[in-house]
Amino acid sequence: MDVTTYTQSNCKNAFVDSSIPDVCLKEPCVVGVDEAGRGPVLGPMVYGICFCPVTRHEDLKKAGVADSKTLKKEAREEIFDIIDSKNDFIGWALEIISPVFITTNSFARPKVSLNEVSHNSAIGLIKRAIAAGVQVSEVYVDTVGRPEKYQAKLEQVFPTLKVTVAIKADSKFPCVSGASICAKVARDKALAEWEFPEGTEILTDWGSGYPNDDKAKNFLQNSLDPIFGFPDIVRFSWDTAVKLIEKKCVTMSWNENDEEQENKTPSILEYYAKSVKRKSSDNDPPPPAVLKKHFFFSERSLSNSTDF
Amino acid sequence: MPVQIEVSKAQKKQDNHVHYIPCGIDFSGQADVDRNFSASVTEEEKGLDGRLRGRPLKGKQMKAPDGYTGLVLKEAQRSVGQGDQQVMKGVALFDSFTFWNYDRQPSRSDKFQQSLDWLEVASVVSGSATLQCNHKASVIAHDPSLHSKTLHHSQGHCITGESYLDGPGPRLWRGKQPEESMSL
Repeated sequence: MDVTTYTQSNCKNAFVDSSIPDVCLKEPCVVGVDEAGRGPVLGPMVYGICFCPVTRHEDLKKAGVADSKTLKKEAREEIFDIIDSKNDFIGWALEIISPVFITTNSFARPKVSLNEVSHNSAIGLIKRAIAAGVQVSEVYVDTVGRPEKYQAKLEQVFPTLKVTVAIKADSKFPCVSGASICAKVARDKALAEWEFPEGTEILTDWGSGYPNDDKAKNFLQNSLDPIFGFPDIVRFSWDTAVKLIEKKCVTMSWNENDEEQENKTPSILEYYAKSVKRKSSDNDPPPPAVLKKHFFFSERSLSNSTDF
Repeated sequence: MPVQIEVSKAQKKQDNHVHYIPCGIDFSGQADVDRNFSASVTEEEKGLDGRLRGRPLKGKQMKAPDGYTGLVLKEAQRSVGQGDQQVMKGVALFDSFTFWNYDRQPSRSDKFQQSLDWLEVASVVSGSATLQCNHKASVIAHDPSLHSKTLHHSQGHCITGESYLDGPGPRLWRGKQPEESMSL
């Protein structure tokens, strides 16, 4: 699998596609959707679809396409080679979603959750296949979030397709297993070929990349810069990453908290007229008038200053 | 207490670039801005895209207002006999800088851009004026000629938004800078 379209610019998302088998342009097809690398604190998340004619769905299984979770890296690559060799009736397409994309989306205003990123990618890939001429008729999807909700969302986007969203779909439907294998192989490859624009002196042994992996923890510790945080390969929004930055980096205070305060709805009590408490003596001099600054200044956050 | 500002030694340096960042950075000193920040900046259709600690930033190149020059200041060490007199030394001049917002295209609705209105108003109002705005922001500046980059913290103030009317001489568009030492 060639993932250079992604690795040459690894902060941007990229598509990697197989060629489309002629038979998929003519016959109704099943499409399986799955993802790889959702949980790890570093590297891209890869979304994949794998498709073949409905009539040949079982042939996928016979060819040896199975649940990828039970497979080792080498075994996955072997099965990918099988998929690749059967390009006369099996096609696939992948979207490699960069860690930068994941990070900036989760820090965006408003925040875009990983579930939403996942849903959008899955929908985008199915649309991509349809646009390329694949006669999509059935879609099988490994769920992200609650299956009923996701199913309803997909049915709304694709009213003419038969959509099945299921838990552990990659062990139930061969086309989903195929998608899962393609996605995992692409993620492994993207990580193996990762180039650090930040510099090459970074230790590159991160094990599985999952936050509980000692090697991954080690990598995070070693690649941390006190000002800028992690290199782009790391998903800054992951809890592990956030905590490390809090503990070891220079404090950065973002204006986001201020804006939340500004937008706070005032208490309803503030709309009532204030009750005037009469003091015992009416002869007290009135309190000195406080000069209020013109709104020209307050609107621009300007105030007087005499020193630095 | 009046603040004395010395600008005679401030120089304009090629490739000297200042970034206005929408956060406070609790640090003053050297940092590799080029490699860790500038390198990731891309030019998109609507403007500049950048990121800092994973936060999406949208930026725009801005010029110092007409008749003004951006100035990076450093607090000079006080000598004996100077008393409480605070002396700020200009260490660099700049005409343009990059303004960054948190995930929002810079526009006229930014308080920062609006605060620059004061410069025009101040030129009409008689007498000298000093203003400071409350933005929380930091400045990242670098100077490749020193083979090092400098990160400046403005301690809860913005680099600009203060006007300093300097009598008949040149008007300074003053940059708010940290109390700690810095190099540029």
